[in-house]
Amino acid sequence: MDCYVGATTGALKGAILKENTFQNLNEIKSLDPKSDEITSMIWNDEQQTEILIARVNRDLQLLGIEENELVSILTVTGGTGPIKGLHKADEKIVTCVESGELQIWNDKSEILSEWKTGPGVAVMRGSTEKPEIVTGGMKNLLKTWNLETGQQTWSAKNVPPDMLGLEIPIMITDARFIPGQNTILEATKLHEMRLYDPRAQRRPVKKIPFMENPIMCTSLTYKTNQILAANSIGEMGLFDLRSKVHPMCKFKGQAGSIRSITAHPTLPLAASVGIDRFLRVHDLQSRKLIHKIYCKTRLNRVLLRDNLSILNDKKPASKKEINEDETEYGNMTKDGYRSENEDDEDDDDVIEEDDVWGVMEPVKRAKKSSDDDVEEIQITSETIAVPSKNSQKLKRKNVLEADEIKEEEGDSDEAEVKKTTKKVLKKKKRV
Amino acid sequence: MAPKKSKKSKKEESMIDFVEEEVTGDVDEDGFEQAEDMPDEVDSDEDEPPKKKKKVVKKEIKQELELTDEKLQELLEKYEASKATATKTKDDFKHLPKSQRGKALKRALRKDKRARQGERAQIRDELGESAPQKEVPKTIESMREYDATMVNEEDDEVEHDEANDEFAPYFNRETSPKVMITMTPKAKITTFKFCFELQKCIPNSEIFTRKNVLLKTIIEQAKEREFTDLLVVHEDRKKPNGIIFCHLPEGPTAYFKINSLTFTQDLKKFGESTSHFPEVILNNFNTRLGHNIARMLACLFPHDPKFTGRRVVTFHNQRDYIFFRHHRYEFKKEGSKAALLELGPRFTLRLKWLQKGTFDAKWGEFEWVLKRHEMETSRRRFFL
Repeated sequence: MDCYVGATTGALKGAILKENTFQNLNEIKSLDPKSDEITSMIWNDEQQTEILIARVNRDLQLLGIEENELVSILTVTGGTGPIKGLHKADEKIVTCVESGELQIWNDKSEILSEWKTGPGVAVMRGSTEKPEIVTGGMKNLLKTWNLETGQQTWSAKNVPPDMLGLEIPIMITDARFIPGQNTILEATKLHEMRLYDPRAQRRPVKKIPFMENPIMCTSLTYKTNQILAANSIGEMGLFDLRSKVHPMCKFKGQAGSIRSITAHPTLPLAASVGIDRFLRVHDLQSRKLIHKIYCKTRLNRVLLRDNLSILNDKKPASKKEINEDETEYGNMTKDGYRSENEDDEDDDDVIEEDDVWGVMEPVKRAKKSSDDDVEEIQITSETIAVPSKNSQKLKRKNVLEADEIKEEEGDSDEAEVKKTTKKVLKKKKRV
Repeated sequence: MAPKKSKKSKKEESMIDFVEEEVTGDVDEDGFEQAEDMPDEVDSDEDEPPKKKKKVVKKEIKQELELTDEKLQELLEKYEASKATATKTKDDFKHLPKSQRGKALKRALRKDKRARQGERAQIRDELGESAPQKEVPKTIESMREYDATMVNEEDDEVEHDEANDEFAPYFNRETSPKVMITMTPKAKITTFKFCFELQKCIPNSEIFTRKNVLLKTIIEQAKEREFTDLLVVHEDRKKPNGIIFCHLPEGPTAYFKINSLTFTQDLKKFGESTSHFPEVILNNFNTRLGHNIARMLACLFPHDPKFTGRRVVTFHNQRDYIFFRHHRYEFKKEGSKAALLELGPRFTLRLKWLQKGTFDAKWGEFEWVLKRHEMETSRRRFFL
C-alpha cells in the first residue's frame, strides 16, 4: 500500500499506485456514514506502521498497517462536533473538537490535560519542531498553544477592515507551521492564504490570493519554500513562499473540491483526494498527473507513505545524468534557500531519490538525449578524424563548434544532430 | 454558423428517432429505475421495412440451393471489393484549385453513396443467408471514451454509498416529494410561463414569486415548510436560460443550462395534461455523476405513478444533454402498438455544476464543475 485514504462513508482504503488499484481495509456493509465518517488521519509513529483515525462519532482508532486491524483506543468526550485535528507528540495524542475543547491523552487513554481554544475550530495542527500546536476556524483567529503548559503563546490579529470600513470575516480552513522558518501558513475561505511570523507581528506578513473560490487545504512539499494549496472547485496550485503572489503552476485534472493533499517529504510527488471520488498523484517537477484512481466514494483524508511501490525498480545505468541534476539542486541550496544542516541531508536525499527516481520521464529523456548525443559526435569525429578525446570535450562544452562541423559534414545527419545539440544546449542552460 | 445549424438539425433528427422508439419500448413501472438502454440509432438508409425482407428471404432460400461454392466466393469477394474501393480519389480533382478539392471529393463520394449501397444490397440478396454481417455504424456515442466511474450494478460499495446519500429517504419511501418553484427577482412573462408549465408536469408543486428574497432565506423557509426540492428558474434577455435545482434539506444543488425550450402551445400537436402521477423514464445516466443526477431528478416525482393516467415524463441523456419530454401514451389494438401524444413542454438541460449541500455558490464545496477547456479534451468524452 502506498496511499491510505479515508472516505466520507467511513471506508478506509489502501491504494497501490503501481497497479492503479485500491483495496478496502474494513467491511463496507457495516458502516454508517453518519457515525463512521473519517474526519482526521495521521501517522501514529515515525516509521509509518500505524495510522491514527478519528471518526465523526469521535472514536479514535488505530490501524496497524501489517495486521490490517482496527483497534478502538478511546472516545473523546466533552464539547460538541467532530474531531477537527489530531496530533501525536511523544506518545501523547492531542485531539481538538469543533467546539474548541482540546485534550491531551496518554497511551492508557487517560486525559492528561484539557483546555478550551474557542468555538468553531476548523483545524488543529502540531509542529514537528517545538511542542506547540496551532488552532483556528470560523470566527476563531489563529492561536498557538504550548503543549506542556497549556498556555497560549501567540494569537493573530484580524486583518484591517476593507475600504468600506467593514470587518473582514474570519474563515480559517487550514493552518500549519512551516518548518525551519518559524512561520505559520493559514488558508481561508476568502480565497487567500496568509503567512504569519509570530516573532514579528500579529498580523500577516504576506497574503497570497488564489483564484476566486475558498481554499480548502494546504500541504508542504519536498522543497521547504514551496507549498501546495487547493480550492473548492478542484484547482490545485503550487506556490513559492518567497515570490510575490502568483502560483508557480496549477495542476490539472480535478473536477471537484479537494479535501486533503499530502506530499512526499523527499520526492516531487503529491497525492490529493476530494469529493469527486478520485485519488490523484501529481509529479511536482514535470507537473503532470501520474496516477488517477477511482475510489468509488467521496474522500476526506489521504496519507502517503515514504516507501512507494512505484520507486522500487531502480535503473543503475542512469547515474551519471542524475549527478548533473543533483548539482542543479545543490546550487539552489547553496544560494541560501535552506539552512546548512538541512542542506547536507537534503543533498543526500536528492542523490538517493534521484537514483531511485531514474524511472521517471524527465530523467529518462535526459539520459536518452545524451546517449544519442555521444553517438552522434563519435560519428562526426570519425568522419572528420577528430581525436577521440575531443569528443568528450565536445559533449561538455564546445557544442556550438560541433554544430558547425556537422553542418560541413553533410545533410543526412544534420537534422538529427541539430536536435541533439539543441537538447544539450537546453541542458546547459538549466545547469 | 453553418456547422452549428447542421448540428442542430442532427439533434432534431435524433429526437424524432427517440420518440418513435419510445412507442415500442416498454414503460418501466418503477419510475425511478433506469429504463433499458435504447438501441443505437441505425442509419435509416440501411433499414428496410420488415415485410419486404421476409419475401426477399424466401426467394433467397430457393436461390441458395443453386449457389455453388465458387460463386459464393466470388460474390463475397465482390462485396468486399465494393466496400473497400472508393469511387473517386483526390487525384480526380486535380483540375480544381486546391481549396475546392476536398469539398468536391466529399460531394462526389456522397453522390455515389446510394449507388454503392444499392450494389451491396444486391449482392447481399444474391448471397442470402451466407451474406456477411452488416457493420454497426460508428457513432460518437458508440465510440465513447472509457470512463472509470461507470456504474456496475453488482458493486456493493456504490450500492452502500447510494443507500446512505441524500436521496435515500425518498427511495426508502420515508419522504414524499413537495416541490417549490420560484424564479429570478423581477421575472418576465416567459419565465412565469415556463414555471407554470413545470408545475403542470410535476405533481405536488407550488409556484412562489421571488419578491427579491435571498435564496438562502428561501431555502430556510422551504425547509421549515417541509419542501423536498427547490427549483429556481433563471432568465436572460427575458427568456429562461438556467435552472437551479436544490434538494432539501441537505442538498445537493445542481445548476443546469436550459437550451431549445419549446412551450406546449408552440408544438405542432399537443394534448392537455392531467393530474395523474406520471411515470418517469431516466435514460442513459451511466456514470457515477449521471447516476446521482438521475436520482436527483427522480426525487421530483411522487412514488407510485397512476398508470390509468398514462402520463410519462422522460429525461433522456444523450451526449451530456438531458432531453425533457412529456407524453401521454395510448395502446392500440391488443397492446401490440402504442401511440404518443406530446403534452409539453420540451427543453434540454445541460449540467454546469453540482454542489454539495444546499445552495451556496460562494462558500460551498463543489462536487463537480464543468471546466470546459480543461475537461472537454475530446468529442467522445461524456460525463453523465
